[in-house]
Amino acid sequence: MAAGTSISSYKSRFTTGTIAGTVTNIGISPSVAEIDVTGLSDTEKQFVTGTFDGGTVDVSCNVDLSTAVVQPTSGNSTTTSFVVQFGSGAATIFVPTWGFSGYIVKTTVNAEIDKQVTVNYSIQISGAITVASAATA
Amino acid sequence: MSQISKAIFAVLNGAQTVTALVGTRITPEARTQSAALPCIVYAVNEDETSQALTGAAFRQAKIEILCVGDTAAVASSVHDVARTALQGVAGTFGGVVILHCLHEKSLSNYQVPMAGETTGAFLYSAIFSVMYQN
Repeated sequence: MAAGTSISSYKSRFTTGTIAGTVTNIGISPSVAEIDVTGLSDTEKQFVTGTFDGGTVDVSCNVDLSTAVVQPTSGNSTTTSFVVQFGSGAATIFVPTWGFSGYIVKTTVNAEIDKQVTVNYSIQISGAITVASAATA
Repeated sequence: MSQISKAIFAVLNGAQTVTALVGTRITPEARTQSAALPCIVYAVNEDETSQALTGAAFRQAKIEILCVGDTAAVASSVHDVARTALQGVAGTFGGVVILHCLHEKSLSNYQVPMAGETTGAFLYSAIFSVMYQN
C-alpha cells in the first residue's frame, strides 16, 4: 500500500463560529449506539447501529486578554453553526472540514502555578456533521 | 541580545536596590575578568515557544542569575536584592512583555581564581521561570 499524504495540524481552526481564546486542541468524536441483534441460533455476535450521535467537541484554548470566556447558557434552543478546518497547506491542497451545529454546554477555566490560564469548552453537537473539503489559503 | 535577555537586564538595571550593590556590572553570559566585585551575570538556560494551532502563543524561559562577590555574605546580599527585584515581575521591560517571572530555586558555590587572578569568588545563583509574549 502506498503511503498516504499526511497533513499537519498547524493552522487547524474554526472557520465558522467564534471560540473565545487561542485554540490549542480540537477533538471531535461522533458515535452511534451498538444494538446487539444476535439470535439464539447465531454462532457469531450480530450488531446493527442505532441513532447517530454527534457527541461533544472538546476545544482547549489559552485565555486571551482581549476576549471574554464564554459560559454555557440555560434554556437555549438556538444552535450555533461551526466549521472546523483541519490542517493547512499550499493553496491547491484540499483539507477536510467538519461542519456542525451545537451549543457550548461546559466551560472549564484552569489557572495553575507557572502556567498560562486555559479554558476548555465542550460543544454538544445537535444534528448531523457535514464532512467536506476546502482549499487552504 | 535576545528578547528575554533585554527584559531581564532592564529589570535588574532598573532596580535601585540592585544597582546600589553592583553598579553597572550586570553582564550576559560571563563576567569581565579582574573586574570589580560584586557583579551579576545572567544567562538563558532555556527559551521555549508554546505553540497554539495557529502559531506561536507565548514563550517560556529559564533564566539563571549569577551573583558574584568577594565574600559569601556579599554574594548572598546581591542574590537577595536581585531575587526580590525579579520575583513576581509582570509588565513591559526592555520592550518585552513579561507575563510572569517566578523564582524556582537558588544555590551557592565558590569559583576558584581564574587565570591571572589571586582570589576566587563566591557565587550565589538563582533560577527563574519567565513567561513572556512572543
